[in-house]
Amino acid sequence: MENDDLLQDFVVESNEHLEDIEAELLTLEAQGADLEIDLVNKVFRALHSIKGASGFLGLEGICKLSHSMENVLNSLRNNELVCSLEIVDPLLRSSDVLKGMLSDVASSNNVDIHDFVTALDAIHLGKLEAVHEVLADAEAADVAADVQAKAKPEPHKAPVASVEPSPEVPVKSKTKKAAPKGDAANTPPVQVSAPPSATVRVNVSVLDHLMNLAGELVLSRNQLLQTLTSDDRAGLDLVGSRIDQITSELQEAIMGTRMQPVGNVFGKFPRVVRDLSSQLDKKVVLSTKGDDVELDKTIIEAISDPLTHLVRNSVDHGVEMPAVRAANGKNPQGSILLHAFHDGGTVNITISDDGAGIDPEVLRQKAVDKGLITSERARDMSERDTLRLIFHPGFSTKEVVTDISGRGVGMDVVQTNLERLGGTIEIESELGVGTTLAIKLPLTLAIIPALIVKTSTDSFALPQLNILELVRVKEGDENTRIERLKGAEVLRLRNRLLPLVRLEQTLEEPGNDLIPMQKAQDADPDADKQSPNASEAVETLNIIVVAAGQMQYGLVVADLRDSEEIVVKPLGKHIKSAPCFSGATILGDGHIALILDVAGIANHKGLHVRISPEESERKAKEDAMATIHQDDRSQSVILFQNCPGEQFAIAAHAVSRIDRVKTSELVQVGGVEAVQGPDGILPVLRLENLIQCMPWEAANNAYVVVVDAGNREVGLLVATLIDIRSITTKVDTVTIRDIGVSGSVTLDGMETRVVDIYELADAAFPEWFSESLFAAPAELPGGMSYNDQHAQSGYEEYAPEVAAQVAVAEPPPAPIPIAVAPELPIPEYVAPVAEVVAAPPAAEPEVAEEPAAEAPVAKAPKAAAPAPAPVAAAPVVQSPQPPAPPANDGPEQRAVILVAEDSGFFRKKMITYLRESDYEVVQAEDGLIAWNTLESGKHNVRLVVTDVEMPNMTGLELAAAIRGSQKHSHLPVIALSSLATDEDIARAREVGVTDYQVKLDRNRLLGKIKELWNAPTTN
Amino acid sequence: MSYEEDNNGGPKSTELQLGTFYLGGLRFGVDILEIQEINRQRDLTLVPHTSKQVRGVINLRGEVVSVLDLGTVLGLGEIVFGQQTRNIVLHSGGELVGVLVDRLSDVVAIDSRNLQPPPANISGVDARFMMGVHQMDEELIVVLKIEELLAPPETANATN
Repeated sequence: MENDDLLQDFVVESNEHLEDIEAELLTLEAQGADLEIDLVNKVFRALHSIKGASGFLGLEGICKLSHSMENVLNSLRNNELVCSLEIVDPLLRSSDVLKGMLSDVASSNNVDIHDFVTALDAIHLGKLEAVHEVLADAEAADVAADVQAKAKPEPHKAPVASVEPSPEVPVKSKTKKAAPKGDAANTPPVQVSAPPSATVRVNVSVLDHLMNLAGELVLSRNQLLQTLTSDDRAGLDLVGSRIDQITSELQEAIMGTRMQPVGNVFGKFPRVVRDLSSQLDKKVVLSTKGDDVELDKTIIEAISDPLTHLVRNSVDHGVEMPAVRAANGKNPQGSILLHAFHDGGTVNITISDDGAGIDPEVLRQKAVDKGLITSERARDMSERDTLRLIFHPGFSTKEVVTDISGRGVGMDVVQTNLERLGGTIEIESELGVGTTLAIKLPLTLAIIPALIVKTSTDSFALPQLNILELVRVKEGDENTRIERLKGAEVLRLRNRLLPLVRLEQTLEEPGNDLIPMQKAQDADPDADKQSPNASEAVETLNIIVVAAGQMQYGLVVADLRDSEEIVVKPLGKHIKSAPCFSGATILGDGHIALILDVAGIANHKGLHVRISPEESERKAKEDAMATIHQDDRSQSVILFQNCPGEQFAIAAHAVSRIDRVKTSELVQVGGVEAVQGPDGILPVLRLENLIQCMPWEAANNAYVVVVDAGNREVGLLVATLIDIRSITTKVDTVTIRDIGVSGSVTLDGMETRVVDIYELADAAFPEWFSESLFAAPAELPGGMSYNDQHAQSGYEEYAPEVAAQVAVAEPPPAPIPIAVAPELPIPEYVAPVAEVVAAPPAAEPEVAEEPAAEAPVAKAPKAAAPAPAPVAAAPVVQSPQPPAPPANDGPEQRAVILVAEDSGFFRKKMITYLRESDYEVVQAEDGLIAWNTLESGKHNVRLVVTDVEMPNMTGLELAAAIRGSQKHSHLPVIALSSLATDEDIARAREVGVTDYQVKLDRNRLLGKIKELWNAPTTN
Repeated sequence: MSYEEDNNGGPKSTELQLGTFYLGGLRFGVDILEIQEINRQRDLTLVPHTSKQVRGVINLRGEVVSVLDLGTVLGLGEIVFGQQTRNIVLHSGGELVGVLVDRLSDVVAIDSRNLQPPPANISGVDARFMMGVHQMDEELIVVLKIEELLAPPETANATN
């Protein structure tokens, strides 16, 4: 062993061979008798070269074992043996032993390989039965041979496993520090000891490229020095940009050398799955996709363990026993797919199985049992949130802790480890179909985007990945936004209470025997300048809402700086123990900024995800505030002002997002004001154009409250956002009632008008909600404005009233006329709606609306069928299934819901989702039509959903009529309104309304309908 | 101690070059081969929640280097920054660590065989930090063991 280099090469090469061998053996096993001879040859050759080299180097043990393995392969090759589990298993185990020997070649000759050699020789000679005996003896050694044993510190359990740095091995201790001397040698091995394979293979062309770039860099430096001496300002710019470019290229090229295919990690999983599934008596096949996707070496190394855990989980918990699978009509063999792919700047890895899936109910129950969440909370949890419970610390759904997945490592550890890498994990599961875990990883760890934040004295970097949002609480608002609970500060944010952590105080607090945060006496001169900021920080709070794992909290900082790409530098060993930092970086000015560790800070502050008694108290308080789900009478609204003194509210559930725009970004497109949104042009409404109010005060910036109105988005221009509130107080729906204003309420002593954005949109773009054009926009070229579009299609066909409304969509001079609604075109209300539809489409322009009515349904994701062609006598009963019931008079007609609603928009919307939920629906434009429909007896109405405010006959009158009639009095009636006050509800109940719901709260309504639908009707 | 054995036992040179400095009135020396550089960088970035020994981190040409207060480490009291305060950057287990000292002194070549075993305690300095002492003229030079000196606090306690 004089030649260390040669030995090193041998180890590297042999390890590569062994990795291939493992995968190939598994393939051979799968092939069984039907062997691919090339593959056998390949394994044979690999073993042969290991044997040859080890013999040359005097590594007898390795030589002997590989020789025996080679013999077996030879027999296979000559068809003297049939490949089977009995043969592959010893081969695999032997290759494990070889790996163990290779990791410590110096003592490889001392490894006891007798049992393996005997077993292999027995196979070679065709004595299979002898193998079992021999291998049973070898079992003990086998355990130790597990390559994973590397991590375990117990050194000499079995000779094979002595992998930890031992001072005698000259091969590995390249640095003299690797073998610490004297007392220090007793200390547990520190991470400093380099893993044996700390080399990377780099393509020569990449190296050449690097060399070129380095040359370029030298030239640029020369140029820079020259320019500096000649004081040539213009030249400096030139050199600057040149260096900039070379630096980026260099960075990219060097990163390239660190990239490794993810297949390196994937490669070990077939074996993991094979061993585990046979241990569990399951049949599982693993397939991989995207093996050549590349990731930074450090990430590749670090994801190995989490991935292994997830794959084992899938085999253990995910895939069912073959018998169960067969009983459920599935292939008895389960499959797991590992898929890596690029998406944006990240690498995604998904692990999907076709197993039993996760039952959210079980999870909920479990979480409640374990006291992780309250039962109320469990009930309110969405499915997605429920699934995320598995990432909760201390959560394992398997009743018995198995030695397979339940090794005390929970999914929370997996999540935390991935987050440490800057990654995220999401879970999706469908009961009986399977589970998919999706991991998102950055390409590299070395450079991350971060937000630079400041305390009064220092800068810190906060990884963007942890940041959810930024909240600024202005002076004077603290009292309303920030509360104290048991001495801890919490921020009220959209009905949630977030614990607050003040960064500066946290860092000043002493830790163990720690120094307070204070500048050294030679602090940088800036410190003094910044002290005024400190006092300002008291007035305005910059809160960064951060997330780490399941934990969210608000971090209060004195100041926010830019977002930067920072280069992560490790912290020295003396500082590693500091809980709040994960590293450091050097800012542009040469100063060091420590990188904040969001999870570490939470830990340090003792914030826990587990809901403690005080937290459940907090929850209770929270729930009391967020009565929205418990209490029909409250509603969450966004408050805004366009000019001081005039406050408006808009229902929060209607808002899909809020954009901040510069006034200069507002453009006129075809007479409609709009902004360029991410998905095209977003039309923007101005409140003063639609209702009577003071005009928007022009400012540089404004907000656009974006609402999804009938499959499209529309924005409402807003000057200042005030707050998000839950209105529980009475809403006066009488005094101020206008199109687009559903009522008024007094909040903080201020008269606040509650804006009905749907009515506003309806008023501004009536054609959106009138059926004939409803489906049209999708086919129009994206850039075309809405006005252009109806100028071309169907504009003239509109009833004049509607045309007038269209004109209003352009910047109108005055508030719009009151009597506007898309249903205007319908001339008379006498005929039940069914007959209106029955008329041939071409007969009257108004009627042309109906045929297209199916279109939005067809666009909806769940609606299966294309719109059925409007047949003259087609019933209004439109089922989402293509074959509409042909007999509309038969007694076995399907039960339907009668929807009475005067606003075309709401009707559309409601019908769409009712149909999506597989209800059949009959629509009526007002109470009277609904009543006539009922009376006509054409439909088997089982439930009535009605708007309250309608022309001709209001919803309440309708309800009263239903209760008053003999025939229909049993029908449940759900009344809908934009806003429900106590009085309204009382009045409604009086006349016999079964239930009262807030409009467009789709889930509640559907829930209620389901409840009433299935309830036995009381006569 | 292994270090002494290396230098006493083998046929190698027994000359030991020490970079010496003053700290709390005592003169100390460290093997000059362990010294990366000496600078007067004072722009320390504080790191909260670390042990008292750590004065902060510096940017050493793109590398983040921890700086220890050698006075605190040796139990001689915190170093007060002055005109002569220096930062000695040492190699330690694959990374660089700076230590603050009161004042620099000369490089001294000694014969390591002349190194005397350390007394249990010199002015409060724990013997475990000392490789030995060297008598030079009227003065005593305490030769420090770098690994022990720069071991992170937990490990230092464990080995104690």
